[in-house]
Amino acid sequence: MAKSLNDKLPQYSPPESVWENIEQGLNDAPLQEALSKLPIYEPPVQTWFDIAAQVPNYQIHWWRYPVAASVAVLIIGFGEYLASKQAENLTIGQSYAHIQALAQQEATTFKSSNKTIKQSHANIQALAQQEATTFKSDNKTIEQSHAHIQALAQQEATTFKLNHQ
Amino acid sequence: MTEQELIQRCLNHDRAAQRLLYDRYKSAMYTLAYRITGDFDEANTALQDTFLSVFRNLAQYRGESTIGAWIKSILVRKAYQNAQKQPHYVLMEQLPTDTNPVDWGNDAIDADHLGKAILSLPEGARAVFVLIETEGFAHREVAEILGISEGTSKSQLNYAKKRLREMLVRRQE
Repeated sequence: MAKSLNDKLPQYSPPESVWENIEQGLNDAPLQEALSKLPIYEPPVQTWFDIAAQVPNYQIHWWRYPVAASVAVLIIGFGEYLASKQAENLTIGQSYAHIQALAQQEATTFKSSNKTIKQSHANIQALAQQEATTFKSDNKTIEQSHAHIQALAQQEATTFKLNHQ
Repeated sequence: MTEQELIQRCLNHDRAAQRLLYDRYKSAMYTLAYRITGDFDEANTALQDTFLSVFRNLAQYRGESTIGAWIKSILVRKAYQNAQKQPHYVLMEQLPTDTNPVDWGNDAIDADHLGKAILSLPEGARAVFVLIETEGFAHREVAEILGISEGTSKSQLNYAKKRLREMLVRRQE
């Protein structure tokens, strides 16, 4: 009778270490059972806060960009109109209110209109420029006006942030 | 969220993702640190330093092992660094010459007694035992992490098991 293919092929024996490892595993079964019951410990809650305080957090808050842009452009725009001091018939209070309303409108529509930050910059700057060319100064000093504008810009940034959180 | 997504977000310094990674591994790592150091304060310091290192050096993680194994390897090193000591290994002449497998008997081993016995092992043997028997590392990996030879890892494990068996038997008597 012809030999089967299996009989013709060479036969191999595993190294002795294989059985030794199996035997070790069988012997260690009670140990492994006990090890699986060892307690798990929780670190103190404070540990995370200590870690977080030392790791930089660069998480992007999308609203920061338009807010920063709004503040910067408002300050630049008002600087320009204060410098130009071109006059028509508006009081400085009316002019402030006008600028604030325009900036608020811009901030509110920023998200819904899908504008890019660059487009938003350009729009706010154009509005400020337009305001500057039509403004007639009253009796305030430039320093007072500048301080006022900065306060308004800060207020605008805060309002924008609250509206979009 | 998959592990890969979580890692990517951590690479972008996303604090929520960092917290998620920490929460996934904090208990396992804290417990491992405690079993290696035998001290909760040292375990806490090791855990803190480990995750600081993980978040600062995550770009160096190449994905050659699981992120958990990578964190573990950092933790073991930190556990010893923080204590400013190298694990003490039992000298060769004190090691048992008998290399037969340890017979743990047929009775169940009390986990509480075992936990205390592990903590009473010499540092080096304890570290090897914990990494291999509770964390599933291979001798080759343990040798690399602890800076010892594979032969030392094997002999320290054998010593640890025999020593544990002696302690558990003595407790039963």
